[in-house]
Amino acid sequence: MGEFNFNWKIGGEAGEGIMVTGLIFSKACASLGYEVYNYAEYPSRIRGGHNCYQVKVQDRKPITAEYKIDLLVALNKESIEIHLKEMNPQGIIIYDSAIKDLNTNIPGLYPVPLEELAIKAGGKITKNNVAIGVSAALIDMPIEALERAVKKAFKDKGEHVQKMNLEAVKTGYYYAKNSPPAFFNIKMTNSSFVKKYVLTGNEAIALGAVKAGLKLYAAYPMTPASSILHFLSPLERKYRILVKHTEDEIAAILTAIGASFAGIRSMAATSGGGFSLMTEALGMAAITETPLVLVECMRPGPSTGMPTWTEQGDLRFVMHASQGDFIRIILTPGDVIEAYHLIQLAFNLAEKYQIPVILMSDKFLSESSESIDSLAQYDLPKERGKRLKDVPENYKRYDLSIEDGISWRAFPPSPNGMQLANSDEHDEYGLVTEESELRIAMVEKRMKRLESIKKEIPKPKIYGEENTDISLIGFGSTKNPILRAMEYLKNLGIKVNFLHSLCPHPFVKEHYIDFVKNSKRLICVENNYFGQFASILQEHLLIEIKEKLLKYDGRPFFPHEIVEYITRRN
Amino acid sequence: MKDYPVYNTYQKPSWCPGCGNFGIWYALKTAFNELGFENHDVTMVFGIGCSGNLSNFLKVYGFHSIHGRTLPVATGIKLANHKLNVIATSGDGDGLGIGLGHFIHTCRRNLDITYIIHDNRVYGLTTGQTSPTSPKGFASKSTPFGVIELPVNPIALAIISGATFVARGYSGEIDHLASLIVQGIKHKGFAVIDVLQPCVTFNPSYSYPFYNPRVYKLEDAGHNPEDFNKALSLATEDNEKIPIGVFYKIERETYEDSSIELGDKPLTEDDLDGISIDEILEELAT
Repeated sequence: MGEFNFNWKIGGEAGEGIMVTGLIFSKACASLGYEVYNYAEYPSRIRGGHNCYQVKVQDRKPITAEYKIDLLVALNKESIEIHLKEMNPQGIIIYDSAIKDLNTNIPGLYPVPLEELAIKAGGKITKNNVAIGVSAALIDMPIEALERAVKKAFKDKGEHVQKMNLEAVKTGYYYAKNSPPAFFNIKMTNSSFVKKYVLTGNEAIALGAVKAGLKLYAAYPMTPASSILHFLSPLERKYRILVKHTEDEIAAILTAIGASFAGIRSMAATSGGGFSLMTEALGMAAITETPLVLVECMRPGPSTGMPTWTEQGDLRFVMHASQGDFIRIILTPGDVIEAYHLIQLAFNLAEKYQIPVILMSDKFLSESSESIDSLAQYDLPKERGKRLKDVPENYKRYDLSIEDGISWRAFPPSPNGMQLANSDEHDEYGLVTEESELRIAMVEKRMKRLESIKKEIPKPKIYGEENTDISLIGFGSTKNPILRAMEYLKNLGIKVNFLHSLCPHPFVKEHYIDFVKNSKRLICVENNYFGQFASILQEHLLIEIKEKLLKYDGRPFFPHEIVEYITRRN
Repeated sequence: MKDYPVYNTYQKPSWCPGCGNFGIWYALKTAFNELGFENHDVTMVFGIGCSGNLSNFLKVYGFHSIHGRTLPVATGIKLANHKLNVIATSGDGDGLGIGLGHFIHTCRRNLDITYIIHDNRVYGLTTGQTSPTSPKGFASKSTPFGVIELPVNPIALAIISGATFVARGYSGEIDHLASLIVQGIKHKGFAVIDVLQPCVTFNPSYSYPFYNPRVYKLEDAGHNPEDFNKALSLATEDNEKIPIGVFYKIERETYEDSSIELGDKPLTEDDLDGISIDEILEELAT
């Protein structure tokens, strides 16, 4: 009891700056020790079209984006119309009293002269900040929290801009205190400041990569991967990370491969369309045994699909991309902390096993932000694998006599280290061969490491009690919605457990078999049409997964959808 | 002709007798010798095709990339360690067909890389189809009624796209070609050398009897390579005679110099321990 559970949303036209405003509001909440989860929906265009940003605030995790809204800030009439169905029965809609032709019978309407107050505060442009001032007043947030967040957000914009925006939040705040709506019962009780961080999945990936010693990042812009590029490029000089916006995704992956061949940690990131272009080079990294770290941020396909929305439809594609048999590892973090941790692991695994490692995210994880207390405990020591500093004479880059199949790397211009990284099948020096015995030996050399890899890749995490009536299974970004749904189900007296895969490929049977065998009713939850992860389980465990809860409308799962599915069929 | 077997691998070239690739192979070795390069001083990136098979015959650091994709790999290597001598090669099909986009963008970038195009105006390894530099009307396995398109002009394209050293060599003039390669490697910036190279098997009409009487040397003709307009007109004029030598050469800041101020220390020498992200994280703090 006494649990703080609040869902806030701001809606308006693209270009009105609601993303920035939403983030400020969420940071103010987080500064008081609350957990926040921010989720944005926007169309693939710059001006016009409806944008919305929602902030879920709770006093503890698990936390995720939720459907029902307690407080809606509607910057235009359209926002009211679009989001009315999402309103909680006792929710409030803050809107500009200047909006005309509105059906005033809509429950919960709270007119505020947003634009008029903004002009008073110093400019029409501060309208959004007036609205967050109003929002803060309604939930009894201490005004100091909002002031701090505004100050920080506008710290580089000059004193005038900062002052104007501070004035705006105050104006809104005191307006609402003096003329409150009839009824609003969600109130904050925290009043002291706590240091937290609010970051997106892509920011976590970028930070993890920097921590791991990234030295070259090559990319071509594509939503929802572009924010990694935007985050890393200003760090170029300070961290000596060469950030290259290449002419296309083909060049991006090849530049990363070239850099890795020369001896540094490099990375490329893209979405499904860009990954399609990268597939030929992926196999080249494999046959040349050049370590490669890629990030694939999924969005709904096929083809251009829905660029600014979410889906998990590329798992099978990434698993099988590029011709021929070769080993790759796919890591699928479920939240920002796992993203930070697993990208570091990706660099270690890539260098240790000299293979491509692909971290898969999606728009929901990549662009949603989440509060965390710290990252430091998720740092990973660097393992750089077999790297020669002094190269002996008669060096063989692809030495077949090495037991585990992982031969030593040497880098130009080390004396004696000459080698050919060859996209053709090759001998121990890398020179071309088409000879039967050598071909077999080289294939087996590359494949030998699979057994050690299977021992080292992360095991799935299991949440909930053993022997529940219902067992859920999934990978990647469905983690938070599922964990939150489990809380709701628990309150309804329904016990559920959940296996969350962090590495669906290569498949390790032992990681899944017991959970699956012990499940009474197994449901696979996935953001795609076919149930791609379910199909992998079926193939390897020789079982049939009868229930699949699938969603492919570009939106993430909202916890209530999982709850409803389970209670309806229970 | 003097050979420098120190740069050879144990594999013997698989090219047809008389192939122009032999001339390029010898010219490269001659240039390495003249520059005093030991094997480990050279990092080369190769494409796919008869030109790419050169990767097996040169004992250097090599990367035999996929079709059309030599320049981005060379870019990655150069950015990771800008002190390396990076040389990329590809064929006309490889580098001017599927890889043409990379060519233009690499010219713009002006990295200190030397790029050699083995230009035989045909697809050799796939047994004789038209290439982007095949002349209009060229009949081949893929164009039995003759090529309809106009050919790509690599020299003119390099000049207008921002390459800072643009030359044409001829594999029948090995010493001259070797000297162009030496100049290209010494040049600080992106050096493009388009090499006329007979394919005696699949394009015999553009073989030695065609080129020998037609080529003349630009240096003998007193061409000033700093003259952009003259270089471009030489590259585009339709003449019986074929100029070889340096068309264009200027100084311009290289990508690696202007990029992140790499200075004297390549990224490969950076220490990865003790990287702190606290300052960046602070921007994300409440």
